[in-house]
Amino acid sequence: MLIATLVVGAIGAVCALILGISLVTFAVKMDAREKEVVEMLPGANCGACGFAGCAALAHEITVNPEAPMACPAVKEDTIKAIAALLERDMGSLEPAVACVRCKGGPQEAPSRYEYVGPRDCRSAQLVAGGPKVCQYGCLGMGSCVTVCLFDAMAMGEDGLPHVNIDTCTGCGKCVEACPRGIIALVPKTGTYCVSCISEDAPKDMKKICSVGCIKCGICADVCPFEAITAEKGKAALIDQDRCRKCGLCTGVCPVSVITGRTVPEKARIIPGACIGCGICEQVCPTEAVSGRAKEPYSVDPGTCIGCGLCLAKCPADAIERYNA
Amino acid sequence: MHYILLIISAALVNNFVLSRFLGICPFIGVSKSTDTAIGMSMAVVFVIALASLVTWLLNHYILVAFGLEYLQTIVFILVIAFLVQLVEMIIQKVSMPLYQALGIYLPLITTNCAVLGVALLNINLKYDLLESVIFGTGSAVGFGLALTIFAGMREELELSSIPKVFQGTPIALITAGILSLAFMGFSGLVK
Repeated sequence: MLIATLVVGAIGAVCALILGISLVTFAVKMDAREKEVVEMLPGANCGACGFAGCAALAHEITVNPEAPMACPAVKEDTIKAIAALLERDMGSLEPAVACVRCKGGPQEAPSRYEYVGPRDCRSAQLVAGGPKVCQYGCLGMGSCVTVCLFDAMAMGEDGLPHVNIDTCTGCGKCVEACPRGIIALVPKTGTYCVSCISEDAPKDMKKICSVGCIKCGICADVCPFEAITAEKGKAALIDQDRCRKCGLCTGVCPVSVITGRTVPEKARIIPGACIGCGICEQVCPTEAVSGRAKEPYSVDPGTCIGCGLCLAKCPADAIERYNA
Repeated sequence: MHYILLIISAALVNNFVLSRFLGICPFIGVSKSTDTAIGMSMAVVFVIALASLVTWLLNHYILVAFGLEYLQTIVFILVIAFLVQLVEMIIQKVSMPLYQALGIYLPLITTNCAVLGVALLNINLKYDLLESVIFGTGSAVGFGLALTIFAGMREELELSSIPKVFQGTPIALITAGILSLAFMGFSGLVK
């Protein structure tokens, strides 16, 4: 009895001693702030930042002062709080949201066979390339809705997934989930998006879908910022870095395939800075600018579409945009 | 040849999960995706091999010497827990990538009955030191094999339409039973 107690006690004591020593010898310095950063991050471990979960990102931004705040799901004020905690500049990410680039539900774009397998787009895609005749269109099984960690997506009555822009964090889970690459991330403010990625020739596309991009290229011609590329044999694509959210493309698209949500913005001329050159009047696509040479010009808010063309061309930086 | 048979016996014929029914908790708990299953398997192989070695030494040089074999279970639990903690600390210092790869699974298996099971079986089956380590590694590989296969099956299950009453753990247990039947096919291969 005594020996047993002593032996077990001794083993325990030796173990404790070794652990105690190794705790000091093998100590890895951990930044106490790292834990706080972990708590501030969303905690969904969605992996959108490119790291293995929120803790890994927290470690990276704490240790490396150059590391960008890669989490697309945190709110602006959280980023500021983290920046204050770590005493470093975080920069900011333009908040992104998901955009479903297909308008062809079962009504507009029919199926070629009846699919009865698991209700999952990836499974459906494996069966002879998916039930939809259009090889680029949404399969409508809602895999993107299922993977959304933030309940920001829902299947609409039209058989297509819809994004709730207010709850979408732009984590990109749905982008990965879609086997056809239909979903893209676009900037949250004033998003314009061509809702079609079909590469079929217009006459073939028209036979299988009534709402797709016909690749006419009018949008590319009208875009004042050369933000739209309409390559031959591809649906028009908007370069979100160049897009200035003027919305001209939505107006001219003959098939209304360009969707967008504009922040109602208008241009106004700062009277003191205007040199009265009249360039704005010449470039304005809606003739909203008026005035006389060498005198400050003015913008009629009623006709201004907030395209920002005048802003881009003004040599004196005398035009600003404001939320109307 | 003896050692090869020992590995086959431990990994396939007397598979830890599917015929000895040890380590069921992680078998159900971390088998939802193949990635985590592989991480867990690696950690288990590592710890069991190490635990076999240390517990055998401890048993022969301390417990047997003092005539305290009846304390095996409690001492082994103590030592395995200690060992996992120590190894975790050392890995964190020495090899950060390995630490991150094993991740949460290393501390999780501190209390895994498969680890204790191997340590006790080594003693009961009267293996020598080398045999113990080989048996331990073989068992752990068998555990990892079963876990990874099972995780693959569960990933497929996620996509199937399962009656509501069977969704989640029930269908997982039924699947485990069928997988166990498949492994029963190895019985008789090695004594």
